[in-house]
This record gives sequence, structure tokens and C-alpha cells, in this order.
Amino acid sequence: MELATTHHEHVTVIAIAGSVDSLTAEQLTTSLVEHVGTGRVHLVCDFKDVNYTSSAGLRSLLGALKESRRLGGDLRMAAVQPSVLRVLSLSGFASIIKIFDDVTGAVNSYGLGA
Amino acid sequence: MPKILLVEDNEMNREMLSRRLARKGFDVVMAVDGLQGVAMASTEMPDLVLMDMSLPGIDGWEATRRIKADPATRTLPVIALTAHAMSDDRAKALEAGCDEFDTKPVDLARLLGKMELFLKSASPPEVAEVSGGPAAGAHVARVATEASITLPAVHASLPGFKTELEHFCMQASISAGVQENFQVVLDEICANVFKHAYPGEQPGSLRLELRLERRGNPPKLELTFIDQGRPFNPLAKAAPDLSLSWEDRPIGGLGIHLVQALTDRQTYSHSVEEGNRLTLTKHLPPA
Repeated sequence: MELATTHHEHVTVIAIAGSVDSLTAEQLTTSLVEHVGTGRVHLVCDFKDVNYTSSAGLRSLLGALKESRRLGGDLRMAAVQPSVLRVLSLSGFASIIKIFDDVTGAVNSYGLGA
Repeated sequence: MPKILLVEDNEMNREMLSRRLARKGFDVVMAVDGLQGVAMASTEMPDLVLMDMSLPGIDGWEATRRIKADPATRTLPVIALTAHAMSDDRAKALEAGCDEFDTKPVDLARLLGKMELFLKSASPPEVAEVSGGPAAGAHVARVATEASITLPAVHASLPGFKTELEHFCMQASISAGVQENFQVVLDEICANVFKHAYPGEQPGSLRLELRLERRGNPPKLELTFIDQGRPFNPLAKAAPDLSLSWEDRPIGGLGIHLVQALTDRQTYSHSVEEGNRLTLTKHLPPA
């Protein structure tokens, strides 16, 4: 799994590539915790290049989502592939996390002039 | 299904040869040093031992001597594998009690030929016949309906299990959707379920058995995980309430929920002889 971060004015986009599974989720957790810890609480996770995620990846996302919302921000997802979307639906995530068709839509959804 | 004990300290060699043997239908168990090899020769009672000679601790020569000195294991055929091509290696191997000798890198066809000499009495890997497309008429593809692999540690086993599953599904013409489901199941079991059976950080070996039953109605695919950790029942844990709001939603507990959602039947048992045994069944669409 590879992570690439882009800082917009108010929104931080984390582009993830590869599988978010039990072997790689900790790396994602570390990155998300670091962003939220430094006040970047408006997050977008770009899942365009994620072909697989397990509950370990979902735990990582849920932890960051809870903490960012507690601080007045949010974590939103973009460009989720069907196979990943299925796991999100099975685990009830699709109803508690906002999912957008692409990164631009997710960034603009914050309405912060990002 | 003949059981092979592979004693090899080099991880890459071990993984590569074990997968190639598993694909040929063998049940492969592995040891990473000489002492473990001697112990597993007794506990696993394989049909044949493939013994690397350059091992940490006691080397392959000594491990073979100990196997051959134990009345319980002395009849096990041992084939020595060595990177050395010295002319006296064959004599040295035979002197240590090895029944055959082969050199590395392994020429699989050559090695299988030597193994076959000792496995004639063992039952061959089970195969079933699957009809090809209607236009193919009499075209028949032979596919394995059972596979088994044992890897040394629960968490580290994941990549190896995934590779084995992919190969099995490809051979058995199992759809990509079912394969994706089982990829999630493998990950959850290795990462979130079986690791709880180990106190502290001590990993153990984990065996994965794959079985395809095409004759049933509907046909089904079974995955069985077997390990020797302490008794536990992953199925006793209640699935998390997915209707909770994000504030109330627990962060953990999703693993077994996903396993239950993606498979049709789950059974768990524990016995002193076998340890934990978790079998997951997925019904397949009719062929």
C-alpha cells in the first residue's frame, strides 16, 4: 500500500493505492492520526486505486472519522471501487461515512473554499 | 493426499517449494530448522521428508540421523536436498540414513520422480472431472478438489494463503466474486480471529484446507482453518450492531461479522488432538 498526501487550503486528500488489509492498515492509521493530530481534520480518502479493504482498514477509517468529527471536521471517501463498496455496505459503513464519486466532489463538499 | 514434511530454513526456498508441491496435490507441512524437523517427523507422521542439509542448530545430516534412530520415525523416507554438488555428498547423505539425494536449485520433475518411488503406497491426490463448454463436446478438464497448506505463523501466513486460494479458485473455475469473498474471509481469520487464540505474541502454525464439493446441491466450497492455539470460540462473539450511529459504533468487532456475512455456514470445534478447527462453507451457484 502507498499513501500520497495533498494539502489543499482547508482539506487534506490522502490518495491510497493497493490493499488496505491487516498487513497495511497500521500505516494508514498512523497517517490519519498524524493529520488529525496536527489540526487537519477535514479529510478526504481517495480510494480510486484501492482494490481491497478488510475490517482492519475499516477500523482505521472509523477511528479517524470519530476523532475528526469530534474536532469539528470529517473524513469522507472518494472514488470507491465496487468490491470495496460492498465491504463498506456489509459492515454498515456506507451509512455513516460520506462517499463521493470523485475527489473533486468530496473536496468541494466541505464548502470551505478549498 | 500424501503428506510431505519440508525442512528448510530459507524462507524463500521454503515458500516456493511448498507451493509447488501443494499445487501438485501434496499436503505440505514445514519446519524451519533441524530440531523442529525431528520433532515434526514424530508429531506429523508425514509420508516423506525433504531435508535441507544446511540448517541452523543441528544440520540436516544430524536431523536425519535422529529421525532414523527413533523407532517411531525410522521408516520415514528422507530425501536430502543440498546446494552442494560435491561428489561425496550422495555417499554422505546415504551414510546419515537418507534414502535419496537431490541437489538445489530443485528440478521439480526430477524431484517428483524420486519422491514417487517412496510414495507408491500412499493415495494419490484426489481429482474430479469437470465438463468443459458445450461446444467442446468431450473436452474434459481435470481439476483438484482439495488442497492443503500449512504455514508457520498466523499473521505471516496471509500472503501465502491468498496465493494458494487464488490458484485453487483458478484451477476449479470458481467465480471472481466468490474468490473476493474468501479473500476478505482469509484476511479476517488470519488477522482478527485466530490471533486471539495465542497468548501474548506467540504465533503458531496455521493449516488451511480447501475442499470443493461439486456433487452437492448446491455445490459448495469449504475452508477449514486448523491451529494449535488455546481453545476459543470465535463464533460465540456477537456481531456488532450495525444500526448504531457513528458516535456509538464500536471500532472493533467487525472481523467475525464480515466472515459470517460472506459465508453460508460456520462451525467451530476444539480437540486436544487437533486444536482449533474452524470450517467455513460457501454455497456456489450451480455450474
